Amino acid sequence: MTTGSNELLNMRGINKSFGTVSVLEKVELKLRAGEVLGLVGENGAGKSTLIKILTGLYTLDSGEIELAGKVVSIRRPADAEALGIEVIHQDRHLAGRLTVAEQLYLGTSKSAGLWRNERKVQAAARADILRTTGQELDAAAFVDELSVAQQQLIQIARAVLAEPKVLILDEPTAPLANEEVEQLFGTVRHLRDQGVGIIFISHYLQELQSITDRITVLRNGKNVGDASFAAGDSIEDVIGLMLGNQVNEFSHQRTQASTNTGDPVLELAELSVHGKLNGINLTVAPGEIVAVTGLLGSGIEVLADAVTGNLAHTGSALLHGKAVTSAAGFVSRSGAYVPSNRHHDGIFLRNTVRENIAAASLHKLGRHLGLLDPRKEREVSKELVQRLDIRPANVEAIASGLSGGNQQKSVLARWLAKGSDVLVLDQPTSGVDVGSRAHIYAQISQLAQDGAAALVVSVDLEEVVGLADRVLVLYRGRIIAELPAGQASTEKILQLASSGQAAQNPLEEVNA
Amino acid sequence: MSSTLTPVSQDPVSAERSVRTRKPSFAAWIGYAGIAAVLLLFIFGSPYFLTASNILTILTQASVFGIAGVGLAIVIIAGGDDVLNGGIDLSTGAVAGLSGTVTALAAASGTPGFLAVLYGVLVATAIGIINGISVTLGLRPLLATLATMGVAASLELVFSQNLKIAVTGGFFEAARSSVFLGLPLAAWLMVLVGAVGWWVYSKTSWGVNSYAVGQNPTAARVAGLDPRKYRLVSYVLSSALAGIAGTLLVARLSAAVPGIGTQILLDIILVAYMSMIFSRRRLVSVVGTILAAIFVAALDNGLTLLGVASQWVGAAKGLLILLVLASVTLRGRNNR
Repeated sequence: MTTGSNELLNMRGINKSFGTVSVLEKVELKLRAGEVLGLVGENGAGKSTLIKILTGLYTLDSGEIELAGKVVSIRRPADAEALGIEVIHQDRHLAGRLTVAEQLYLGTSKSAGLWRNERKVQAAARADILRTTGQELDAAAFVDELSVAQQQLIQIARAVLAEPKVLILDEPTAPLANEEVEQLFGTVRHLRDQGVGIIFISHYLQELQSITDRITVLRNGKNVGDASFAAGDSIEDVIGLMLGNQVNEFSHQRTQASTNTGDPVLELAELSVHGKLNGINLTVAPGEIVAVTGLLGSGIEVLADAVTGNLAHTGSALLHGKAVTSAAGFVSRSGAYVPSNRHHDGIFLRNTVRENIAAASLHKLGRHLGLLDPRKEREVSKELVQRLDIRPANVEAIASGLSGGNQQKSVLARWLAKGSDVLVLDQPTSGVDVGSRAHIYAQISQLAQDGAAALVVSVDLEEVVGLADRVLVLYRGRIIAELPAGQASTEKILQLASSGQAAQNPLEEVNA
Repeated sequence: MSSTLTPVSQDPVSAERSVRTRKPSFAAWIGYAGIAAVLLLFIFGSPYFLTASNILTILTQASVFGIAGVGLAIVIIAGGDDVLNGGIDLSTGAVAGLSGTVTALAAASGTPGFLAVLYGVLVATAIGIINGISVTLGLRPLLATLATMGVAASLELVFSQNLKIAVTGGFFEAARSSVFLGLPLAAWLMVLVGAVGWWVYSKTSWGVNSYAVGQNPTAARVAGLDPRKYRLVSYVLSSALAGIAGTLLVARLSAAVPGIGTQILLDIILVAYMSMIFSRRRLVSVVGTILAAIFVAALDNGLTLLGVASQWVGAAKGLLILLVLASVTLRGRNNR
């Protein structure tokens, strides 16, 4: 890494924490004019946080941002924009019922005026989009009528029109097809040649190989080094940097389910979600833990919702041989669902731990005629609070006062109280501290040993490797590989998930 | 490595990447058909319905909740049309009533008519400023304006001592009966409010920005807009327009009638939301609100002409709201 004289952006010693969780620690990032810099790291490594700081959505706790030799302060998105920093966000922030032209020019001088001539604005928008992206778009269409890829075009065109000094693309290719990726790369190279500094965030290492000049790698909110494909580094080298030396936190040492345990209780056949998942087939037998993993954007986000009847899908999800059509149906046939967004979908924040634990088994724990039995609820809750080490060990504590890990344990306890024998866990330990993780892993393993079937959907590679009997890898909406526990390693999974193929002999592992 | 790309990278999204054809769905026509059927029923049911003088009566009636409705429409545009968390101004009816009472009291104590009206509108605007500040501070619009609705309704009773206050004098007499180019003054005022509202919210960047802020505040912020500005202004405008509507009501009835504000609230909300069915975007609009106000006034008028007992008018309007919501909802579902 050379510090050229044409250094454009220099982020030094950036620190950021949310509450007590430190997300970025002394992170450095340097970008030269006319350079494409790749920014990579595992999910949760801090890439998005760093970018949000640079674009004014978050403010940094400490550290310095220097742009073209001057220290700048970025507190709001407008500050970043004024400095010539443009970003294409991973979440497309668009107003659905505006026309393409209105969205394209929103807040810019081209939308100003006391008498907008719609036809003229739309003609200009069409021309601008064609010029900047090389693609045609109906400027009179409403934004929510467009495909994801077309919506992406608006954002690209908008960013390019602002004539930025620094352009940030956050996972820009996830919704794009191959030829559209090529188009995008054409635009990126064109801008680079004009001296724009470009930060390109992607999980797809192959793409980075063909577009970037240099790569900065983050791990757990820290810099772990730079790499350059041009200088001869390989994808394996980058993966090595991303993963580092793993600390094994799987102390529970589960004995792998050795014998095949009979007929599957959860079966997915050609399960598809429009635009997200494509023909997923998998089975989970009693006593088995099956993990599905993939990068964000691969469809992994919606899999658990689709399986548990919370999201419309085609194909079928069979629980105990019967199709799951609704979330209530899933639960009534002894299915348990621990959703990924526990604040939103999992826990009743203003209720007590006891109420949360008893919520799914009021019938079982109650008296006749639907009357509640707080005494019985308390007994069951107390036992589970002990078993899962939920802290504080007070069943009448309000859930919102618990830490994320303890909240998650409470959600898990809810299903333990009900005695569910098929568990679907979506990102079971995201935002959960290490100690709670171990408890959650131990409980999942214990349940499996007692004969429950568990489907774990997770982007956490260590978790997947440490926990599962079988690991299935999702890539762009399809299962591309199945690895038995003995063959699954974080390196191999990341390789598969980020490139769609293994290092060598890609088809050998696929024994689905 | 890229030379050995396997078919795995087939993108599941690529199947749906063309612009969906935009044709009005079946559900879209249910709303229009309902309106047409109702109007035809009136035209054939009463020979008097389509006469010039009756149409002027309808327009005059429409003007009160048409003008206040435009104010509410602006609030919904900039706050979003989510009924629970979006933009809503429940105080609008009570503010109209308060403005009318203040105007009538001022006129009764000898203030010139024009100044009396100005006082009424200023009091209304003050409440709008409170609403706007509350909402930009992060209070839920539904609750914040429910609170000011209570305050305004109570002040109205305090000022009027729960008595009807008659207004006399040339100014209000003229406002009631003067006709310009064949249209009464109130109707002209509604046309003016509609035209200016249409210009601002359909033709200027302020309008586009307001719609953007209402639909997706994050998208607006990312585009460098400040949602608070557009929302604050929308509540002030809503109350000011409600104030004007209140003074029109006083002129029409020749008196300030206590409690009338809460009675017209439902009509104001109805016309603002009903404007969605006149909009290509399925969004609340200024012109749609005026059209809806005229339709609702015609509904009141037509049902009376047909001899439907006034007790049933509320039921008819209730069904109408359901029809409109169903039409908009079904249309939205088809398009998504």
